[in-house]
Amino acid sequence: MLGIKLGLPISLALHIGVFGGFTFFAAEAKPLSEAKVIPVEILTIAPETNVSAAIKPPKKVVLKEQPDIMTAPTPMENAPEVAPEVKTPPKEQPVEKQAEVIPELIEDSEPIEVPEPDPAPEPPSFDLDALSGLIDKTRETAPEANQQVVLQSETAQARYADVARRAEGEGSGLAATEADLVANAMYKCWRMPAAAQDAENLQVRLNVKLVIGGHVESVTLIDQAASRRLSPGNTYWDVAERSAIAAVNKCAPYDFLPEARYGIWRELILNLRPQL
Amino acid sequence: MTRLTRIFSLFTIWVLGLLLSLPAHAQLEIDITKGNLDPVQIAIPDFLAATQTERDLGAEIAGVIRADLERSGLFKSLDPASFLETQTNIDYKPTFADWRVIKSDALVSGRIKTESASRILVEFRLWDVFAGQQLKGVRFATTPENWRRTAHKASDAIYEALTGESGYFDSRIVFIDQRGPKTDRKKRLAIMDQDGENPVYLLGGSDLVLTPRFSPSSQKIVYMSYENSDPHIYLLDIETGRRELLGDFPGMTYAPHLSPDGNSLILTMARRGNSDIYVMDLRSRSTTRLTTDPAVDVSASYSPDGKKIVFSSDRSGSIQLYTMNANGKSVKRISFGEGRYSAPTWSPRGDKIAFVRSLNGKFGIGVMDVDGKNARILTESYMDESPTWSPNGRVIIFSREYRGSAGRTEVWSVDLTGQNLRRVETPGMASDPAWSPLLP
Repeated sequence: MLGIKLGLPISLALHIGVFGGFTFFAAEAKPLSEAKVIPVEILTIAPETNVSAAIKPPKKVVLKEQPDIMTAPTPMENAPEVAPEVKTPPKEQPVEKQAEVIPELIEDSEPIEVPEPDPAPEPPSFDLDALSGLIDKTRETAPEANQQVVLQSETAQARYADVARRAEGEGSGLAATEADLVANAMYKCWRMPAAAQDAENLQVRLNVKLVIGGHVESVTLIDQAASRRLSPGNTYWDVAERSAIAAVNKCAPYDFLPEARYGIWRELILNLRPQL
Repeated sequence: MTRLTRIFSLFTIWVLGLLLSLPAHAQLEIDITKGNLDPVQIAIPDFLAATQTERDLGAEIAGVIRADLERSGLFKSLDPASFLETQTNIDYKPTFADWRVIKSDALVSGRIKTESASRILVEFRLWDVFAGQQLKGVRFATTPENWRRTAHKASDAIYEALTGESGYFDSRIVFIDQRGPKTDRKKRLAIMDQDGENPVYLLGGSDLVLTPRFSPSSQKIVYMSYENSDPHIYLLDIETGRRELLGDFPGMTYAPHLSPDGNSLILTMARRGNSDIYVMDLRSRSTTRLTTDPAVDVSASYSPDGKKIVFSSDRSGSIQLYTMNANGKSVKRISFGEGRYSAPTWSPRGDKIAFVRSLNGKFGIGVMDVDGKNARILTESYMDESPTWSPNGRVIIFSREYRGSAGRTEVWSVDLTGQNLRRVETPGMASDPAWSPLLP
């Protein structure tokens, strides 16, 4: 009876100790903004992977032969041999080539706002019927060709997945270099709203998504309402936000960011806080 | 406690532990606190047109816009020789890549159309090159002679869209034109566009005219005239040329200023040896005394909302700046620096007061917050005086006099931050500038 009475608290304490310890060690350290990068290969063990899908690689790349993420880093120099260059989508080109007509200006003796031109035509959307028809046809006529196409796309995806997995293992504790590199670049591209009233409170927060090669996939204004509460009614907000977004685009491509650490910089939060 | 409860609580702790140990999505957050203060690079090709006459006008208009924006110090107009794309129609989207290559932040593409002999259309589109979107599209209909004002209006629209504050290019400056040697100088009231173009004398050459000041809300000026050596205060409507005598004031009278609503006049009058500030109702012509201190109270200027007045006074022993309510109550000293502070002028934006500071025999223009904080001296020379604000409260122009028997006087401008100090072109020597509000 005594054994049972003693046993339960001991078991409880042990459980808490074991799981608490697990929680403590597994918790990720917040990146230190002032940290210096020390060239020591320390691999933190990621408790979970965020690689969503493991895609079967083409025959050349035998995933098993790659060193396991838990034991050694994958040298990135190998990757380009097997994976084709990731091309960034030529976003502007279709718009610029097809010079579209802007609606006629409305006549008035007073200066008037002219409506914004129609948005650029969307890239041709996938016609699923046509696509499936094509696949069917291809399968009938040339199954090998079909196979080849699939393999190429898998190669590219496998590289992304591989990079993502590596980053997860590397941890984000040594991210100071990326932060410094981006901040340095932004110094040249970001024009501070110096002329504005209450300029130091014109803080803009952006979510920036980058693709490999450092091209900008998207820039989105985040927490806009919260930021704008810092200086309510300031007429310079629109300009401050626009110049922040322009700065991110202007600085692209961020090709100085190390590709091996793409997982760290593929999505960034930028706080643009002018200090005059 | 039952065994089941214990197992359940252990399970809860385990689940909590698991949840806490889940990796937070590691997202790199970067604080960026330093950017540059470089001017906005802007490309303004000549405005497109069908005929040669129109094309000449298009080139002139683009030239005026480039000069306006450059002079503000906030823009750098790119050399048209560097442009890669030659647009032929402003209704097509520009090839943004071509403008990015030459590092242009913004592009203005404009066009002129003649509708009839007396009517032209001037239209332009302002593009954000890096975002690839139109920021503004404006059309003006005007007479061909009015092209210069139209260009200034276009500059204002571009300035406003890119800086977030209103422009100041479609405005004028009244000044005292000075001719001849210092011992026998002719002084005449004149007006010109803010870029120094279209200078015109406002009055005949016989009057000795001093301290012209614009009404903050209309194209009227108030000035002192010493015709027959008696001081008179006149109100002159620049649009109509109509001149109205506001009053004859015995003794010394100085520096009249109109209130923001244009209904009253604030001035200093010396009565029985004591200079005080008075306000005069322009409808009833009755005057009310606002200050009663035995010291000399001068240079009163209203805040843009008309609720406050700033003035200078030597009541503390040295000349310093004070504010008070429009009714003369709640007098508060706001300047405490070394030297003497005089000629305060409240900014049309309401957030700053410009003044003249003299220290060690030099005179400079400065600005401070309305409570006297953050005082900053922007210029200093042998004699800088008579500061006046641009309509948007961003630029200050003032007279600068040089030492010597020639006593050359010029008009200079400087912006609120002390940058962009430059001489304003005037036909001859000039002093006592007064900047108009934006033209209607």
